[in-house]
Amino acid sequence: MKYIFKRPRLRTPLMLIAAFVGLAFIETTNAFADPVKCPENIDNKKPALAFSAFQPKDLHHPDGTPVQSMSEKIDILDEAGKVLKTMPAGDFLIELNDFEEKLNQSGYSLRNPSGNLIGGLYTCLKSLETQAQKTQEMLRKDLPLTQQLDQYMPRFDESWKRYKADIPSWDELKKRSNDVNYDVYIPEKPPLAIVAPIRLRTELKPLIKERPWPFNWGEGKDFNIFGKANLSVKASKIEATANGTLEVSGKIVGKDVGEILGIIASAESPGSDSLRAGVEVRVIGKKLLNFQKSGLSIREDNKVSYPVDWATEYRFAIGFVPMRARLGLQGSLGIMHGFAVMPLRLGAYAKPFARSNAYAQVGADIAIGGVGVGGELTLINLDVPLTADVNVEWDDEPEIKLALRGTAEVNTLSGRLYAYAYAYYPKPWPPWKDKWTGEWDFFKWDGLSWKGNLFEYEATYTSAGLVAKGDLKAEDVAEVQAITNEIQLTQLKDKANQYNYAVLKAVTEDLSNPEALNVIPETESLKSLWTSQSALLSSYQKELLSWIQRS
Amino acid sequence: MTLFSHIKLFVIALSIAGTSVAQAESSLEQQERETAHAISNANFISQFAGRYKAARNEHFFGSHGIKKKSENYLQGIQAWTEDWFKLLALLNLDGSNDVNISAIEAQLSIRLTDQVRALNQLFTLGSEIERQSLAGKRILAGAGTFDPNLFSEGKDVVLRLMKSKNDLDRSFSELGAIPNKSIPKLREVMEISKNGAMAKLKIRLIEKGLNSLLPSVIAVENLLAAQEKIEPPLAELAELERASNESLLFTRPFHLKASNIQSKALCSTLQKIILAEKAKVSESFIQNNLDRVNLFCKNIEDYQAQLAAISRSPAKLVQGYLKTLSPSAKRKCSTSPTPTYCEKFAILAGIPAKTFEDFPDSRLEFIETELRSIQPQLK
Repeated sequence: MKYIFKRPRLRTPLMLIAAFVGLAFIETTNAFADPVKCPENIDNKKPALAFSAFQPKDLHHPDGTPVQSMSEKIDILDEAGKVLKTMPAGDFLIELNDFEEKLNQSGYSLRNPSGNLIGGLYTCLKSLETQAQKTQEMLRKDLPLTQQLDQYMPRFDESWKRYKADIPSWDELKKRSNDVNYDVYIPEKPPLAIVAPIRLRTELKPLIKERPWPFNWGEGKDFNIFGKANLSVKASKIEATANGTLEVSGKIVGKDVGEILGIIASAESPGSDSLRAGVEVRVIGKKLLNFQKSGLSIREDNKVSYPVDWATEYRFAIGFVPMRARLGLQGSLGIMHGFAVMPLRLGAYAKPFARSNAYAQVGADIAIGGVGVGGELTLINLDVPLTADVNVEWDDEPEIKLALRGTAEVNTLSGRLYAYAYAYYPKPWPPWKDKWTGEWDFFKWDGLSWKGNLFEYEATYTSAGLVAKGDLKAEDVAEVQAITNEIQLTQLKDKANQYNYAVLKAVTEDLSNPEALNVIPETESLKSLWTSQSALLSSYQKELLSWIQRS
Repeated sequence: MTLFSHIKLFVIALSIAGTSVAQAESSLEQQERETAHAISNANFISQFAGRYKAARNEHFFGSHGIKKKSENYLQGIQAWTEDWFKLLALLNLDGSNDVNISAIEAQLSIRLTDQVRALNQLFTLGSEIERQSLAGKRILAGAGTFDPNLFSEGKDVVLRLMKSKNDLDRSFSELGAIPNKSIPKLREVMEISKNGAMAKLKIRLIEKGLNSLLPSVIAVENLLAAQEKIEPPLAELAELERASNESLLFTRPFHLKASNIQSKALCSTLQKIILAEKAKVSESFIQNNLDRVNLFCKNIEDYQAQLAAISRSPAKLVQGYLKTLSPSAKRKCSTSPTPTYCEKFAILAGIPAKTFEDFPDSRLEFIETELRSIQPQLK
């Protein structure tokens, strides 16, 4: 291989290196590029090549004889064959390898083995040389850096103004956005974008509570008081309703009185409709009150009371005397009620009451001395106050507060009610007449007297859970447990999401740091270094072997 | 409707209610299981990423990582090769014909010794690189494998993490293989270098018409041949002496004891090797080398005697070693996240003094060995 550097191609290696150094800065300014022959921006840099040093055996004198020693002088010729310089082969080899190494870093080689021809650089060599020359001149001027910057700043300003003038206005961009002739650039989603999870919340379910109170008092099948009281409440974050009912029925001497008292009281507070409240009262099957009200806000306190009188015929015998009786109930029945209904908030109470006694009128179907009624029977004295309070409050999150209470004071079927008859009859010895008496108990019982709580339930329901207290049933406890489970699951999911996010975010950040990105390039660089070292070792080995063979 | 029909309806209603409650519970259980899996997956990724990061930061990049060691190793090879070129250049015998064979012999001897030592250092560094490669790969292997499809969220990230881990694993393999590829070549070069140099010296003398000096070259050749045999074990003994001295300073009783045993065998072998060359080389060369061997061996014995003179139990000495390293550990381990060698040191430092006293020698030796492996990283 001959190394005859020819003038038009390359004056000296140093000049080309100077051109490389100047390239990055000069070309971006476009100050010196040849617009006719060369593109304005030349990126001559190619992927780096592994450096492989030239060996002494590669060197030849211009006449083709190999260089025997590194101390031998060799001539460096230009293209015309003119001797540019004479220098020791060892020095030339060092300069040559130095140049080759720098070329390799930019992807070129003096060997031209991989298509990265150094000749490719010659296309614009003239321009590059001019640039290098200008750079050298500039450097020679030895201007302070600030002064050099001052020279360039006006040019930068001009360029910036020109660039700004071409920036379309917002309106123009908006107009173009729907124009198919313009491509709209939407950046791709970054591959490692991690979306922060949204905090999960447990939805509040409607809370429905119902408390019934059935009752059946009496002795035997003749005198009975039975029925039920019921209070139900439904509350959700968008509505609240409460319904209270009381039905009292009875039997007197085996005869059905039917419904003695029937009461329905209701209040509704839907979130998006007008509020409603109503009371219906039935006494002995007849509807005596039907109060309904609606509006944006309802406040009502009232008491209604109705007299009741009901009777039935009844036949019986006292001893030999056939008897007839008229048995009935008398008293007054009614309700005290109150509502305070506002949007998503209601308080209601209904206090049905009953005061009634049983009475009897009797007569004998035959003439006898006399008949009469004795005793006193309280049929039912009843007070059942039922109250319901529902509040749905919003403070960032909904909170449902609910309370149901029911108490009762009862005194029923206590006392004795009886009929009697008497007659005088003759006897054989004086006094000549005697008196016979007989009695008939319609009802006789100590009765039931009771006062106490029917039920009491309070609950606060938020996304943190359901807290209930009072007389809790198994289903209430199960409900609290189910809601707690659901909330705990939501919290667990939330925690899992946040944790997963934290892990992925940390991984993303770690994978984006320079160390993570540099593993492969550093490895490749070291492998490439080893390739070079290996080549160097091989060349040394070859030289050793050549000496051994020659000896 | 008969009573039987009522009961039947009631049973159906109960079973429907029961089914819906069971379904709700089953759904909750299912969701809970899925959430637990999600947490478990995140845990897995966390440990996976932790292992990747530890392997990368400590075993690849760290100040004692494979990258740094490989750079030093390759730079060492370059310097070593360049020194060979310089040695050959020395034999150009440029200038006048007044060649001083003794001076050349001295130069060759010094340079050859340097080259042998440099090669030994390269071998040591090469072994460290291989160990580092295996250590890094072991950490990564412990990370396990997973199915990226399990991650609906952040699948891109876990795929990238997997790729990064695989890339790192491959890098450990590739860098770890360089000593394996290079060491045979270095040995080969070392083996023919003396012959090559001697061949060149002879040829150059003949070319310069200095044939009369050729017999002197035989003496040089003998000297270098002897040196070639003596120098590698001597370099090993010198390193052993240095490490023993360090063990005395850091109170490492077990390593010092093992070094002493090793040195006795090595000294005996070396003395035999040196004396075997007696007929071929000068007496002074033999004596000089014997003196060096004896000095190293005596030093190692003295170091052990000095440590014994402290009259402390091995437990106290190992504890002393630990305490000596503590200030460096405090300085080096204050960063976050804490490197694994710091965690290891913290575990060893956390052993109560009383427990130390109760440890058998085998356990104390283990602790000393672990501390020796940590020590370079605390520098």
